[in-house]
Amino acid sequence: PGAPPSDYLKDASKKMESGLMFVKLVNPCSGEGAIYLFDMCLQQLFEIKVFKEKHHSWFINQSVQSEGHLHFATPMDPLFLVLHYLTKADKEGKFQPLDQVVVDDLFPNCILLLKLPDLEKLLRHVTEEKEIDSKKYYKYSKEKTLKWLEKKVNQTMAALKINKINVGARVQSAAFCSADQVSSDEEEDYIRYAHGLISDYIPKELSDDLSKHLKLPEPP
Amino acid sequence: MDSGDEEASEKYRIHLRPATLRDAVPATLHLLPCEVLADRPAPVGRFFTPAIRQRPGALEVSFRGRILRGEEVVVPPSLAGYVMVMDEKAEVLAGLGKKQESRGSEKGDGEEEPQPLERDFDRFIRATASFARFHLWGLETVPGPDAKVRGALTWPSLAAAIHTQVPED
Repeated sequence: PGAPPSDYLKDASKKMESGLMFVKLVNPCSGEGAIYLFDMCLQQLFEIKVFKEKHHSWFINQSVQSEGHLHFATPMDPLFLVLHYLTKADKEGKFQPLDQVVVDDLFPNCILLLKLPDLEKLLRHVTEEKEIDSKKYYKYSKEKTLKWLEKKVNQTMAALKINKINVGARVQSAAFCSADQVSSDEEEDYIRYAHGLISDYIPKELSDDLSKHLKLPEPP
Repeated sequence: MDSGDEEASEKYRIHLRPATLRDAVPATLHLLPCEVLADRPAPVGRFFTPAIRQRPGALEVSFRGRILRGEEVVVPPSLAGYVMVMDEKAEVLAGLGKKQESRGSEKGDGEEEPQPLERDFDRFIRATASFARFHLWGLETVPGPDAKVRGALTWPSLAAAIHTQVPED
């Protein structure tokens, strides 16, 4: 059983007879394969996550399903995936057209990313660009990427607070420190937690750079 | 939680039959706190459902002689639940069958058989039912606020924050 966004998918099903498909693309953090849902009609990318816990099964109507899995399809920022290819191509250190950057023998379905609308606009967050003979050329910019990721961290922190997610990494004892101390520690826990969530979508090296950029203390 | 489902190989595209989303009929789902090592029809409506009792603060049922306590969990309003089933591998098997046959008859003539079209590898999945709520069961007690599945249900709102576009400077 899974839970994709409701109204969205129902609308999508009215508009067309095909165009929703699951494909395997790279996981931008691990470099391994992961399943994504692509909507070819609305040109949107969804990430699939599976909730798995030991010793669970489903009863579904008059049947039993031994794996108690619950799949989630949630909208994904395609820039994380494109960034995976940009950082790889950066080793060559030059401006390149996007269709030469997003190339993958292991996951040939990556060409679907190039069809996403507004991708050019999104690329401004993480690249320098040049236009020659009305063709666009891009080069990864670490500086811009870190600024973009910092905004993502802030946005995620706000959601953690709204959803009252318990981010406490350590037991806090108010008796031993002043009120200010408590709240600044708490703030740091939120940054660290948000940094951890974003780090699931970027390579390790970039995650370390982001940690420095956010002035997070080295983990003990 | 980790990503994925090992079904799809790198090349495959698994097409979701969109009409099945529209036509999916609501199903009754129970998430049990134990592993039942079977995937098959079961007379849930004969043995399990009629035994569910409403007690103060929880639903109660017994399964294999153990007391389960649980409650109804509502799928967050921005989501819809679907039960999906992969279609039989007909297309894929057809493709592979041809390939093996050609391998057998290859001897001698050296003629190269054309590769099956890429779409031969594509597969189809369809929604067989929908759900907006399910019953969550715990052994003896109702799963608490820290239960993993409850945490999982907050994931979509966090994912939205992580993946929403940020403003440009």
